[in-house]
Amino acid sequence: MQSFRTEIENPIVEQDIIELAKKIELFKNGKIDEEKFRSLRLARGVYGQRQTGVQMIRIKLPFGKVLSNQLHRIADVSDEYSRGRLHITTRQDLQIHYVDLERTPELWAELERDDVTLREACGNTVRNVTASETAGIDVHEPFDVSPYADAVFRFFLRNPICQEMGRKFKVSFSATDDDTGLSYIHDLGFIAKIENGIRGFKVLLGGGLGSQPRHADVLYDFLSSDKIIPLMEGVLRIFDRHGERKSRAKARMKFLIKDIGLEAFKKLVQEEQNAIEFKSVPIAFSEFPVSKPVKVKAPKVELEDTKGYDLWKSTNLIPQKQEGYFAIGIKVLLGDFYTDKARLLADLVQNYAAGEIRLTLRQNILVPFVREDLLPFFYQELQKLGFAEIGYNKAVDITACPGTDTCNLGISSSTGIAEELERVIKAEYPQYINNKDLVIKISGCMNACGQHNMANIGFQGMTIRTPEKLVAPALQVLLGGGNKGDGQGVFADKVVKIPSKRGPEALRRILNDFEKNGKGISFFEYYSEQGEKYFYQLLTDLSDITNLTQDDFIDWGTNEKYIKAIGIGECAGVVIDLIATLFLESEEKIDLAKNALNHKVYSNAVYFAYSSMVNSAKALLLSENIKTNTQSSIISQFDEDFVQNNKIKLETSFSELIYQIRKYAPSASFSEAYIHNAVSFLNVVRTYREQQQKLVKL
Amino acid sequence: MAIIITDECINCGACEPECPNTAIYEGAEHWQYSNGTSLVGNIVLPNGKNVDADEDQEPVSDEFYFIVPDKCTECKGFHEEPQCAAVCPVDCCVPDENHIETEETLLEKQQFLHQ
Repeated sequence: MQSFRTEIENPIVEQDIIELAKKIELFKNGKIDEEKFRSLRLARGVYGQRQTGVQMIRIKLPFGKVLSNQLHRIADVSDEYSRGRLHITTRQDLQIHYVDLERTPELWAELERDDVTLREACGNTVRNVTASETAGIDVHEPFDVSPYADAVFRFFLRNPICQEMGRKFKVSFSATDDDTGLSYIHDLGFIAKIENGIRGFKVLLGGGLGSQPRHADVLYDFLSSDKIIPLMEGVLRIFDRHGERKSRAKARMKFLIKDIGLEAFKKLVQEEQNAIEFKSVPIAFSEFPVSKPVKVKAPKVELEDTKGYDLWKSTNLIPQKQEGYFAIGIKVLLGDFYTDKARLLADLVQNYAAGEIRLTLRQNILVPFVREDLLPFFYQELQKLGFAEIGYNKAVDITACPGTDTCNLGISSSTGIAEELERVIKAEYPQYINNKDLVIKISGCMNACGQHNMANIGFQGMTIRTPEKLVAPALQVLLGGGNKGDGQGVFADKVVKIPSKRGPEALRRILNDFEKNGKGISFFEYYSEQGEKYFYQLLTDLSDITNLTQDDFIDWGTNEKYIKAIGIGECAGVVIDLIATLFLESEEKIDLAKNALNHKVYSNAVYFAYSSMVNSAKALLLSENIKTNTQSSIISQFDEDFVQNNKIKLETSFSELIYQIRKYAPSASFSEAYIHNAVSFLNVVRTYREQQQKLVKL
Repeated sequence: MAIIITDECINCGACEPECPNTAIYEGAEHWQYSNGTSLVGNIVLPNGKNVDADEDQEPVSDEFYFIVPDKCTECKGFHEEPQCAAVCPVDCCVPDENHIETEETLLEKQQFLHQ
């Protein structure tokens, strides 16, 4: 552990890593509760996986931007601590699997040498901030959104208002009205706009996929760019305070907005304005480091396969707004690639492009800033790496989550069927290789990491039971979803459920029908014209379970008979609190508050003190077997059960005391007074608890 | 027959928004007759029971999503097949042998819930 201290320059990061190492030690010795430990490690990118005893590590890469040196570092880390495979997620992260828990602090320290973090990659935190992969190069963009995505990422990283929320929080930025960042399925989605010469965003709030998808509401048609951080701060504070804590399935912000309504939510955010230290946070976009293309002479290339090159050019290139430059799309099957190729790619872009790659929402790689005369050379080099497959972001480019391969939650195979469907399209429907209007996505379960329920054609892993009570892997077929642009989208209808082995047949029927009757319109339009019933009729006989064969009980991508094995999610286990631990945490939070006060970060000081008071109140409620849920309900319950009946004497009600947070701006004097409140409150409840325990003993 | 959720439920919640009668609730959740129906105040159920439609009722299950038999019409009057069963990823929404009802009864129940 000594080595971290010498090698990491940033003391906050160093502290973070040492803390993780300490907590792992405590956990191994049985000194901290498993649930507590889990929530701590999740907020540091360390996730469980289907195989016991090893961890999945999620590397947080804001808007999927990876520099050459970072890619080299990640490749080294994967070889050393994992198995040399890198998996691109639909939220532009990289995941590596089979990592030993005890080596995670060391791994993290290695990554930080190139400014790559694990912090808040999983858990109930602000997850990776995603953006259109074309940000900065898009011909249609009003401006580059990357500096804004980056600023949001940095502002909220380690921010006390979003460390222990009820559930995760996802943010996206879209470069253009095509909304390739998918703002309508995010907790907060931003679409770049310019109004009267001012940079800003259309803002969407409260969307999400999962088993109960919700379309985001438009919060602002236009919000100037200096207001996005203060807005997000207000939203997070309200989500932290009012968000569900008991039922994990109902804890995303979309449920809070569904429950109380958009207007009530907005009002709460408005009431919180006093607590927000910076009402305007201008983002210095001109200082943001933009990767520059290298000046290099194009090597001589003799291409033999000019036909293949022309096809590749027609399906894998995106012209940039910078004249003479192209971005090259690399289609990565299921988002998996390996470290040997990663290193060669890192060198290639370092020497001949701008030393940067982007990981994309469709689990691909985009190489920006390739000069036109270098295209044949890139084609030749990428072919050597197996990275020149045609059909970037086209129908043949199917998205899938890892599913039953490594995920605990997977119900049936997603990657196996994805490979099979890509094979079907290539062999039987080559005309779709260059079709970008047909989006196919697959998830192994209803949680929708593969985003199946927003695709034109989606499949979701399930099981199906025969009359003889045998269980076969199955797929739900979802149709008609799509992104309409400018923050509007349609979720797919759940049309029919079929045994997994009939997935290819379902796809054939859908495509044949579309070919025959579609008359050149997009599939999205065709589906909305025909409607759900039409497709139900087209596919319903495939759901017959009276005629299954032996093969139907073997899932795609395996030769073994299917066995149903579904674990529970890790994202946010419900944490069971012990009263003594809660008191200790209240103390810890007071220490953190004092520390923030010393560093003159008043807003943080106030928030730590606030969290400490909520925590202390919760401890006392639990000690009397009162079930707690949201922070706001803890506050009102505490008044009801302890203050109003004079069990505990405070100078004012608890609500008045704690809600000073929204009355006063976070100044030095207020922070000091408020921390003092937190200290005395903890003393009061602790004394009360001790007296009660004495009474019990008597 | 009403539909019942068995203990094979994985608590995914996919069924809940599909129910046209708001008969499905998360484990340990209190429920009301009035929730998602046109029922209000004191009512007499088709089976003769007197209840306050707005009053909180005890959860049927503390562990898994559950279906309130009095509010389940197997989707009769709305859909061709029970929607919870259609979307359940693990086939755990099955006919409830203890609540067998004819199609006629189910349709009457549907009309009673949505007058």
